[in-house]
Amino acid sequence: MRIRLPFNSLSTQITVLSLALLLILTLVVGVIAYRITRSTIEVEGIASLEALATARQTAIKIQLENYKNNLLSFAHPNLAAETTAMLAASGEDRIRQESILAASMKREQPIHSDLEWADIVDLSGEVIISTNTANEGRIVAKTPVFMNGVVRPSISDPFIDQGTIYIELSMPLNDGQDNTVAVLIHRYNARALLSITGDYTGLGSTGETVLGVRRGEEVHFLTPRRFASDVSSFEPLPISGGAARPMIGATAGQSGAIQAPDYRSVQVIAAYRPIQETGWGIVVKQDVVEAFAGISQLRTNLMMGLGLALLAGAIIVAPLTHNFVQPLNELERATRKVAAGDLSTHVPISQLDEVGQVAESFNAMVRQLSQARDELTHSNRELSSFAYVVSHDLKTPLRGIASLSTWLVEDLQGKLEGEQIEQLRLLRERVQRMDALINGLLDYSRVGRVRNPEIVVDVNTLLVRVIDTASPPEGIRINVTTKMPRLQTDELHLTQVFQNLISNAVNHHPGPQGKVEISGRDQGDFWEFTVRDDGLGIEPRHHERIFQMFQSLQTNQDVESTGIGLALVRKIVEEHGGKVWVESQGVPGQGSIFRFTWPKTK
Amino acid sequence: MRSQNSVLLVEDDPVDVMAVKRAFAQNKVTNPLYVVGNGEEGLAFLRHEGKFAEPASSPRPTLILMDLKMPRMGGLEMLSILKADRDLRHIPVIVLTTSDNDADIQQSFQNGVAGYLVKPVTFEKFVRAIQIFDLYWTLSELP
Repeated sequence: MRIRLPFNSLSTQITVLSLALLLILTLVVGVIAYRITRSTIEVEGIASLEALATARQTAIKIQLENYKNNLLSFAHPNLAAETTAMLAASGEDRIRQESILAASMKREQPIHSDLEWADIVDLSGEVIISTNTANEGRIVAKTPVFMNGVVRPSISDPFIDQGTIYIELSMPLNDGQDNTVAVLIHRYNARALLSITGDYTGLGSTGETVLGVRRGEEVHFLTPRRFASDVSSFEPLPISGGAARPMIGATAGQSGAIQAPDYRSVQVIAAYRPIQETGWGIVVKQDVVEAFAGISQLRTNLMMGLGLALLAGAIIVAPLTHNFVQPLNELERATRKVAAGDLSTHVPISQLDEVGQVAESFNAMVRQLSQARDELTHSNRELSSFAYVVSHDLKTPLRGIASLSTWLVEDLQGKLEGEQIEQLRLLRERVQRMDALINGLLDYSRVGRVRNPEIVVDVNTLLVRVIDTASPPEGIRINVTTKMPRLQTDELHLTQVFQNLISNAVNHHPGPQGKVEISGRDQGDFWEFTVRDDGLGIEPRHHERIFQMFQSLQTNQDVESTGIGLALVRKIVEEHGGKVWVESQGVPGQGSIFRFTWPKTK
Repeated sequence: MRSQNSVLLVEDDPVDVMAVKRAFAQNKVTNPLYVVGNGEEGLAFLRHEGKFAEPASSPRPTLILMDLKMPRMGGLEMLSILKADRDLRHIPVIVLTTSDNDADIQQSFQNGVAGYLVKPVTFEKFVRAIQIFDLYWTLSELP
């Protein structure tokens, strides 16, 4: 599988890939750690709320037990007997007994903490005796506390009276023969209950304990709420609301813990417990945010850990990548240098085994290449100077033959017959041809051997000169069809190339009418020049051969046709880093197009 | 050239010697032409040494035509000795050679040659070259 990345740099790829790998690994580890720790935090948070709920439930039960014990100890057997006797009496006696009973009740009152008052109510619902004299004569027949108290000891829901929260207890007083004669009612200031629900210890800044009860289709709060504006208002919650759910569970006698919105519509963790005796429910709740504060802390920690891991990874990976990529970069630079012809390039051997081996092989390759090039240069030079010396030494005897044949003709003037004159003419013609061949060879051998200075050459004027030298026959027109550039280059070589191409076009033209067109085109790094004729053309199978030495297509004894011209052209053009080729189908009249490229030099 | 002035030709190839002689003849150059085969002989001729001890047989030439490639002592070597010799260095020297080698041409002119003529292959051209030289030396004053 190949991974395609949008960056081409090897070091960037390695860095990004390893960091991505590191990111994935740390993410996986992080997510697992997060999940485990989160569930631990959740379990622990819920468990602590449940423990608090149980503790508050127990405290409330104990407080209710206290109230009940107060009531029972207040209603010792004497009180019931005295009340029975008092109710049985009448007139003066009754008034006396009432006042005695009232006095004893008033003595009793302070012993019972938080006891606001104690009433004795007759079965008709009228307060007969009270520690609070103002209560006497009041009718309480319709109150639940009275109606329940007739039957059995009972506890009322907390309620508000004149801004204070109270709770009332009631029990029947009987005559000793299981006949209820009156009801004892205690009113307590409920501050003891409130101090339990108002204890926010262990509940942070968002937790609270509420006491509630279900009345029909509503759940009512029985104690003030921490976050309600009016501490003494006990608003109901409709039973369908999510906020009522824990209280509904508790008032149904269940224990548990759930996550739900509360009366403020804030998500909370709520642990609920029933208070069976009164049918109340107690809910201990805390905002999720606070209860599970450890989770967000955990998240922050994990993020920081992740960031640190990536940073550490980057710090470790970057130099590693550098170590790894550096030798490759050096190799790349070296390759480029070698490609540019610098064979003295040497790559430092890297510490890494594989890359080091590549570098060693590279160095060995460059060494061999350099050696081969030196040998080639040497043998090329030898060949050139050989060609030069040979052609030069060939000229001396040739000149002798030429001179001698001339003198023979001069000296034997009038003594020679027609055939002999013709033979001597042929002899001299061969001599001239050989001279042209040797000159061509000399030119050819000079191309690689002699470096001509590079000067600014105006190709326009160069062509004017070349065309002038070519001296074409009457019917052949030579035109330059485009504007030619000025180049900083080897003037002699460029001249030789044009000279050969143009004289070929002229000399090989069948005539008598014809035209030769010369044009040039800017190709960016180089110029492409074209010499086009309308002569005989060259068949494609000859296209390669004509550029080889002594490969003339015609057995032309013409002095100019040496078979060296195009070989010389190719050698010069290639020596300057260009290319030369011919385009022709060999159809007479359509001619040939010779093109060559010539690099621009600064 | 003024007819009383003699010319020394330093040349080893007999055909080239013939060529010069014929070219002289065709151009009606009548100056006496003395021929030696190499640089050593040329110096001996100029210094009246060895077989040229008799001054009558080796008159001081007013012009030297010289080939470069010769056995025993080549033209460039002879030229440098010639130019170091107070007695001889004023004699104008024209190099007459097959070599169109840049190095040869440069070295010749550094040694103060008066002309450098590359021998053409055809005799006709050579005759024409000699004709031009003759014309020049007729017009030019000689030391």
